Amino acid sequence: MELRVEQVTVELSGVDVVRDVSIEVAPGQVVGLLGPNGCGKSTVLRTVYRALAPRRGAISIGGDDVWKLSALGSARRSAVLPQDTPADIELLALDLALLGRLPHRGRIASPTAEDRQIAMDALADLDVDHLAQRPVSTLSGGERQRVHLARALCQTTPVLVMDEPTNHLDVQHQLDLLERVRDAGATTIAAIHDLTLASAFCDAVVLLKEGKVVAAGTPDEVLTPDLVLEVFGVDCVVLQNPRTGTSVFALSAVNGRRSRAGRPSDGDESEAASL
Amino acid sequence: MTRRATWLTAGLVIALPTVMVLGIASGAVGIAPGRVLAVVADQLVPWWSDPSPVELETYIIWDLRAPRVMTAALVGAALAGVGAVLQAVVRNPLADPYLLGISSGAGTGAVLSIVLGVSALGGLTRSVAAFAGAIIATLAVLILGRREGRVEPVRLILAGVALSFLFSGLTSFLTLTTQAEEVFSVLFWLLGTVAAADWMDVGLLAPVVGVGIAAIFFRSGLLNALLAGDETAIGVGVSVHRLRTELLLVTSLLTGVAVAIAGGVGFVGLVVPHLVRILVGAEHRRLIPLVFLAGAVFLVTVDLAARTVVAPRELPLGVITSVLGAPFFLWVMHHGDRRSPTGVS
Repeated sequence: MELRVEQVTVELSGVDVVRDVSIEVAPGQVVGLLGPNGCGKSTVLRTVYRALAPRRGAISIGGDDVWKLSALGSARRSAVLPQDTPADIELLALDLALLGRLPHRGRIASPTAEDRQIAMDALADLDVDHLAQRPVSTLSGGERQRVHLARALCQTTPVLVMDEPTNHLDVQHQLDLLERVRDAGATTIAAIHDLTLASAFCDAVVLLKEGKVVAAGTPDEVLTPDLVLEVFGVDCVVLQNPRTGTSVFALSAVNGRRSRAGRPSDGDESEAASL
Repeated sequence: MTRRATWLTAGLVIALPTVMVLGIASGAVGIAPGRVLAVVADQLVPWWSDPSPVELETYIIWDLRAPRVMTAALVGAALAGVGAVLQAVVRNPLADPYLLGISSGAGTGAVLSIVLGVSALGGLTRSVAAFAGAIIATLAVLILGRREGRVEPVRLILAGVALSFLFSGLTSFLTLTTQAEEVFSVLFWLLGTVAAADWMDVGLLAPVVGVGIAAIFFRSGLLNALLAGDETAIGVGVSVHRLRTELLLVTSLLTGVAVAIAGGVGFVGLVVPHLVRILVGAEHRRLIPLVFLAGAVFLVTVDLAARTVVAPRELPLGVITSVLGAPFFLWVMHHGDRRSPTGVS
């Protein structure tokens, strides 16, 4: 299903933190939301899964305004992987994954055998089925993140909203998680910090700065050294991974600030701070 | 359902009627448990039972002790259930029915009625005053605990704690400035007692507790979502702010009624949910019904102890729950299951 964010403006404590943001995600596409801290990525995402009402504008999934659906109806359209989840959840990992079935069976009914099967399959898919009977509070941050993604996938929604999905994950699981998300085939919108991952996994990226869209398009069009410098304030060299052909973003601080080696960086590519 | 949960359910289902019969049988006049059953059967199904029991026996069992034991069971179930719900609603293991200042408000109301002498009109007036105090405290904490139209757990806790101190201070002031002979009954009541409970109290409690238990029971699946954090809960279709407000209203009503009738029975709402959680885990569909049952068993047992430990004198319930309950809770916490953070020693 198609996801459309149309001219959304969000006000928090009297300030418009997001202004006139429009984003279109075609069915099955993965769109990355990029920008520096505080640029409004999470705020835009929160309007999609109804945690925050926009002051102006509309969000529609499959042509229906999500703010006119019921809470459960909206949860059958989109599932969310939040940026931060509590570390002290006493529920078992399986019980957490089963929350993803709540929109399908309603508020009162207990999970069915089928629900349990779907949840176990999702946990197995993310390589955390062996943790099913462990309280989430005893898991590592990365394991918890994967259980939460399993919960979101259990929701079997046409749209997936992810706020920094690779948080807490080691490099293998970062790649693995994004691979699973692509395989799931859902229309996906994700806030991502890592430019290299974003350009490798997203069909399109949207660059935000101070609550406004600066650029949108394919990663190659948008993630140019000029725009990266303008939006993030860092120098960047786009290299190519010889094995995969994908872009690798080598970043360095501007204006000769000290690099990791402790010498002033003169902008030489070989001294660019490593990714 | 895990095996442990099955055993606990079976144990509690057997324990509740057992401790209730024992509770009715014990007291200044000892009565055989068999006689208790006979009298209760005679009251409930008079046409079915054989020879009618003697009048005095019926009076002691049916008019004095049965309502007292019923009240203890209902108050115990209510307070334990409220504790379990609030711990999830504010995501804080220290939450209990008194955290939000509701019982302190009720205490001030009750003491005010005693000090002003209106309690001469009977126990009901004190209950009404206590309930009014509970409602005032609830409204205050709900208004103060909001920001931008939404209930915020941290604000709620801080407002509740501040109100608790305010009301406790007022209660102390009233207690200390009143006539000496009244102070004792006030202090006793503040620590919780069901000694004076009659069928009218049960009639007030039972419908409220019944409705409250049902309202909580049907939301137990949603409580799981609250544990997972607000963003996740919203993402799976739970209207978090509405749910919090509904549950706060239900729990306030239950606490208000319980405190109005039984005074400030501390510790039950904090400890019973944790004990059950250590045994069966935090999944609320399983946890909530067991917490209600365990709370009832716990308080009937405590009331039994309150009457027998220093017989013929009686102790307030709060003394027993604290002095016996605290070490028991610490022991279980120390030896408990590692599945729960509270169970990690």
